[in-house]
Amino acid sequence: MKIHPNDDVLEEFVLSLDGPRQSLLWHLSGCSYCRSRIYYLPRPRKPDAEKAEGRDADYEAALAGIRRSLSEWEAALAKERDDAPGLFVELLEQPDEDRGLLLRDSPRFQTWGLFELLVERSLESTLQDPALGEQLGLLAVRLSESLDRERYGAERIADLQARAWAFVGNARRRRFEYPGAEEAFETAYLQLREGTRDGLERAIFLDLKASLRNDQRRFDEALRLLERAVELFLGHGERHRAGRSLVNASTVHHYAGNMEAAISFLNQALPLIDPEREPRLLLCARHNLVDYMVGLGRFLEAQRLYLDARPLYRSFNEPWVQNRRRWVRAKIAKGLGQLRRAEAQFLAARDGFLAEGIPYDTALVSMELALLYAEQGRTEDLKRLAAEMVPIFASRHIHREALAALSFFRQAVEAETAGAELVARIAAYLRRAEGDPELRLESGSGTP
Amino acid sequence: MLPFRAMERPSESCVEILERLTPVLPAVLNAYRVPEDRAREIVDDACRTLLAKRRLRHEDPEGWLLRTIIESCRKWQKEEEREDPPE
Repeated sequence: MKIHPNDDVLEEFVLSLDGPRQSLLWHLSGCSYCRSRIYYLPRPRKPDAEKAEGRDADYEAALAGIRRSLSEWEAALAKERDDAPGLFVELLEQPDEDRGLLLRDSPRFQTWGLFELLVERSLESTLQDPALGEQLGLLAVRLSESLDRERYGAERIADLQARAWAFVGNARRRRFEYPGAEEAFETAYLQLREGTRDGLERAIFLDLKASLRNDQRRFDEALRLLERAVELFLGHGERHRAGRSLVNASTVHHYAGNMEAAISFLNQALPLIDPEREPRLLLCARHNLVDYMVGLGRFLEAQRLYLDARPLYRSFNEPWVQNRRRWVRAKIAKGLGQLRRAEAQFLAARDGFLAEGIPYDTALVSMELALLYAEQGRTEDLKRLAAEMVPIFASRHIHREALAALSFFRQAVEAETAGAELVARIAAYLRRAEGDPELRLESGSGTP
Repeated sequence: MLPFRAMERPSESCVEILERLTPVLPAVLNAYRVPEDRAREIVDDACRTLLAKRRLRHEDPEGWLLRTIIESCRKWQKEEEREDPPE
């Protein structure tokens, strides 16, 4: 049919279908994937029609049998999942050297439920404690070697092994162990090839590998991986995960210094994010949008977005989020010329980061505050601020080049030669060097 | 910038998902002329994979299952054609 059918024709068609076929039609009307698939499906040949009807009946009987056995398998896996947290605690109570032996020798621990839980906890722990994240990922891999291939399926085990290795790679990335991370991602890739070839697993892998490329400042590669991940997620109906990859892509653009693109990617990501599933991702995207607007000097838009996001910020009443909220609020206030408010918010954010023991962010906020003082010629306040930065220098979490730049700043303040231009240059350097420990402060910064 | 973490929780029963697809599946399997015993393996395997990955919280588990089954049917058909090419 080359023309659109009118309402009568459509109504007649829908009424002519029995219940299951109407269900199929409604499914097709809402599922773009299946509609596109129709074009690829081979058309049954007419002489086979009778045979096809016979096969339909056989298939229906087979499906009924699968539903019964699946029900039993689902219950068995549910039991394993219920038991997994207890086994997890028991495992972690053992000394490090005994854990591997326990996983290898004790069948009680060799379950899909525990395997899956170790993999999940590996990713979750990595954000706060990458060493623990890596350890849990490696325990998952160790456990997978003892799993019953017959019971769980060799390809399914390979899929989850691939995810475990990708999480190990991610944890190593967070510890700046890039060669180890590369190795883990390479193993993950090989495992994926042994697996079910599930596009969703591949997309998860690509998304994590892109974070490694971003940290290595291989931005083009990171963006290509993320583009493919987004495509795969959307192809599998995974809008939320696609949104998360787009947020990651915006981060890559941010680090590459392409703020307009970073904002554009966040705007694409926001409608895809499911706030109930991952409210923190929504907060992250909206906060970054405000921050990137500030970066472009679009302070009025940033203020509007900040005010819109305030209820969301309130729902995360934890220092980690509130300190960042104060920081961005301070930047907006400064941009709008509200210097007292900016100073108060910078100080509150700095004190918050100090209390939380986050030295790099403490240094970054301190430098922005220093710039505010330098622009107003407040030499004494600058000196006090520089003195208060002592705890930053004791930190082992700030790389050598950044420490050198901060040291340079302190000497300049003490010698009263730290003008606004110098402070701005050091502040800009610290922002760039956050993801690039090898970056050095440009020469020509002058000497104190 | 704020980093974020993933949260994954399990969701609805896989048997229910298969039940919802039951009206569609015979047509799909028939279109590829998959024999009954192979069809049983394909559907069972896809369902077990979905079950094993329920904690990934698929947004569209039905779509995932259908897609996986169709991919397996295509793979089976290709293998068949390789072994016994059409004249």
